Amino acid sequence: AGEELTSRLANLVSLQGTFTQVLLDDAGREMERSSGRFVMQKPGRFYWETLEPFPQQLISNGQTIWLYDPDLMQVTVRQLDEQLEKTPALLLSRDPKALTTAYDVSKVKEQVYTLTPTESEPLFVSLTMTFSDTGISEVSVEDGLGQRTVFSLTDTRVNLPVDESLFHFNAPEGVDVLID
Amino acid sequence: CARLPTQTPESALDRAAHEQALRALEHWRLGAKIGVRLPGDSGSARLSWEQDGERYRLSLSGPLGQGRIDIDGDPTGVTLTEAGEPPLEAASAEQLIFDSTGWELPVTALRSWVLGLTEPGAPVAQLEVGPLGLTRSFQQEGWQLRYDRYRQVESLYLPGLVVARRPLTDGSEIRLTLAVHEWSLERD
Repeated sequence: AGEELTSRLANLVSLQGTFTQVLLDDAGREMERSSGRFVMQKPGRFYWETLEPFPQQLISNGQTIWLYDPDLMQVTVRQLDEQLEKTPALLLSRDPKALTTAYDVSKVKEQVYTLTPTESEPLFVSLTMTFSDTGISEVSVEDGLGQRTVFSLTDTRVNLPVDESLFHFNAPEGVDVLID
Repeated sequence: CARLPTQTPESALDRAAHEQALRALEHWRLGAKIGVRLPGDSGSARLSWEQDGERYRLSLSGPLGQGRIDIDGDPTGVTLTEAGEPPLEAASAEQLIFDSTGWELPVTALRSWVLGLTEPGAPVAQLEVGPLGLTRSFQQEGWQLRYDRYRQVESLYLPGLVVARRPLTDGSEIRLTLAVHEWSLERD
């Protein structure tokens, strides 16, 4: 299953579309919902813009990661580190071979794979990725409390040329730049 | 960028009656973003806060829903749950949040400040009220509070953007920015 997933991810150079992110409690009740658009491109570049219920941009060019909150007039700038590498958004833009060493991969059914971290202090308990003919349609992440964050990806398009400037953030006038 | 709607009353409101109504609120829930700026550490998190009489639940989560922290409290004590960690107990929310995030959040006082109210029983300095009767700024417990925006919720005006700053002895400061995106007063 690991090789299958690796090869599927290998020919995924870039992925873009819209997302809805829903947090479900351990009884499956919806607790929080947000939505927006995203663009991801290997290696390590992504643009994750939340539009509802609040504005936020999470941008990385592979080295630096910007978290811009227009409502707070604040942008936090961090260097991409080991810990951040494991977030779901980065999983897709990381090199696939790294995935199969850090995670046990099992094939749930056609197009659906579950990743279970092999390391001791995982960020999540399991991550299930569902493929579609236009890329990935869902990523579901379960944390240690039985809560699940489900990213539903819609009108996704694969391997389209991407405007590089998307992955670099310039702080507008009057925004506080906080370097961490 | 997305400007939060500013909603202020057409004419000056009866401040005393408005404050009394706010103080009488038994149940409220807010959905917000909190920005924290500390010397050497800053960030932002999604914050949801439900207050029901003396019981409350605060949830903080990072972008993509990572690092979620839930804090449940009532007069007897406070519990913090975080995925992959054993639950933490403490007598006060302030201690709990400091132990787990290193952030100093004046939670008890915030409960009043977030409604645009000063904390009962503590001295207030430099209270400034806007022309329409809404609080603009004040100082309390070493914090400087500033209310940049309000939102109308039913018949009340609740803060939309609050900045709280605490100067530190070394000349730096702690700054909390709260952008409230959703207020709800009904009991769901």
